[in-house]
Amino acid sequence: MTENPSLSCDAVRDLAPLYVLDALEPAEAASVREHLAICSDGHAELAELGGVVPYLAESLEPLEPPAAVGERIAAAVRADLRARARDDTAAARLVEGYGAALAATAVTAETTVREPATPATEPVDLAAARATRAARGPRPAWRWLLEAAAVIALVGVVGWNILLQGQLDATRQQAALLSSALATAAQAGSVTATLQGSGPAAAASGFVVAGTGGTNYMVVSGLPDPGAGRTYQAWYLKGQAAVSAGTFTLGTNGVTVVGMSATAGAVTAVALTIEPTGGSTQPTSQPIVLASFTG
Amino acid sequence: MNGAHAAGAAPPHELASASDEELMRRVATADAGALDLLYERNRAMAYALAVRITGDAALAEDVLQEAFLGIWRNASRYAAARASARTWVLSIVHHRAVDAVRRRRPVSELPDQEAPPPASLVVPDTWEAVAGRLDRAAIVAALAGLPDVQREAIELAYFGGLTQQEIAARTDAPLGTVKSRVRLGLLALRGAMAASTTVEP
Repeated sequence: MTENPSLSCDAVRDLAPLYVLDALEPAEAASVREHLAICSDGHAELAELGGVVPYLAESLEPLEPPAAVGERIAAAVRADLRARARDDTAAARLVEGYGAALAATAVTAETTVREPATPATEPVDLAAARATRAARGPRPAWRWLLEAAAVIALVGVVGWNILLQGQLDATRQQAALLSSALATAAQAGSVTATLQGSGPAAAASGFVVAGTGGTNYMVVSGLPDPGAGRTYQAWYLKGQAAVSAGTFTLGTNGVTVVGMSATAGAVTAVALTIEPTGGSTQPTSQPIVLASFTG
Repeated sequence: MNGAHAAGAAPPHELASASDEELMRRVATADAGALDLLYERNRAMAYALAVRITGDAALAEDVLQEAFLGIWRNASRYAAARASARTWVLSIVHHRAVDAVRRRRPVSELPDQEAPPPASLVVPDTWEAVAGRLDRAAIVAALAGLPDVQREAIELAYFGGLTQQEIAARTDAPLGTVKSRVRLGLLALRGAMAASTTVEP
């Protein structure tokens, strides 16, 4: 797929007739898609040639499939619906439970541990907390917990609302990851950093949990679709160096939970970039989401 | 019926008058009844296509099942395709059938995610405008009117599931010749169909 990453426009025009018939080698087709994802040329020849393809299918005499095929499809769809409903219920309970518990924790912590000089702010006003942090010097350790709890409560409530909208297609994997992420965040010794979006991902929010185990977690919402032929890729930043933490696709419910294998060495930040499908060995664009562990 | 599919489900009488595109939007909200109807409307052409490509009724049934489950799972991707729902459905059936033929492996092992849609899906097409008043005989006649080498190259690619390299080997023609035969054939078909559909209101 990456052996020919940069087809020219002329090469794409040359391949267009077979591309619209789905008759290219998979690697060739992938190269065409990669080109189309970044090309500013409209490649009108694809519309011109591709518009003919439906005629080819319609030239066939219709043929009724056995009734059993439709029955199998209908049964499989219903089974999938039931599985989704189970997942949704389990995930909703999970998020609801964690959200409520952590909201209570955040409020309690905020009211009992607040430093006397700190002006009253909303518990989840992280921007204000961050703004005053620098002026105050080294942050007390409990601040991490407070921020983590507040962010988790916020994300939990957001996630729960989305669940209630009935639009959720939460997979078991996402639910399990979310459970692990929150459990890790609640463990002693774990460190949490909030995600800051910028540019096309300005609306993104969430957090990264670095636990003491082998897996770190990222919970993020508000990421835009990366576009055709593109994928999100997470990076561990170690000073000037970037180490891939893997690619991921967006969760279908607006909240994405990603498990990332821990990496050796001191991580200063976790960053997200948009890369060609399959990922890159080094970032090829500026990070659009960043979570700094150095305050 | 249980509560599981209450969220996006519409009463059957409302669905019956919905366009395929509206059905697809409902499928994206997990409306199983909409998928049933989408299948009912498109199954005969989808099955004909799968049988023609695989040459194997049992394999074609598997292709159909996997294709419609793929549509069920990925209907939300349809919104970006900007093609008619029928074209999108048939393209997924085509892709699955070709994949089954090329890889000679059970379709159940195919990836859970649909492959990125073929080009005909991501470009506006003329289907919407001509659906319902296309005369199959006119299409067959237009195909039959192509020079033999052009029709052969197109059919080997679209119905045979052959790659351009395989077509070149099969027809004993250079790759560049295969490409230009397909290009000229598709453009000729386009012209012929445009001529045959403009006479209707």
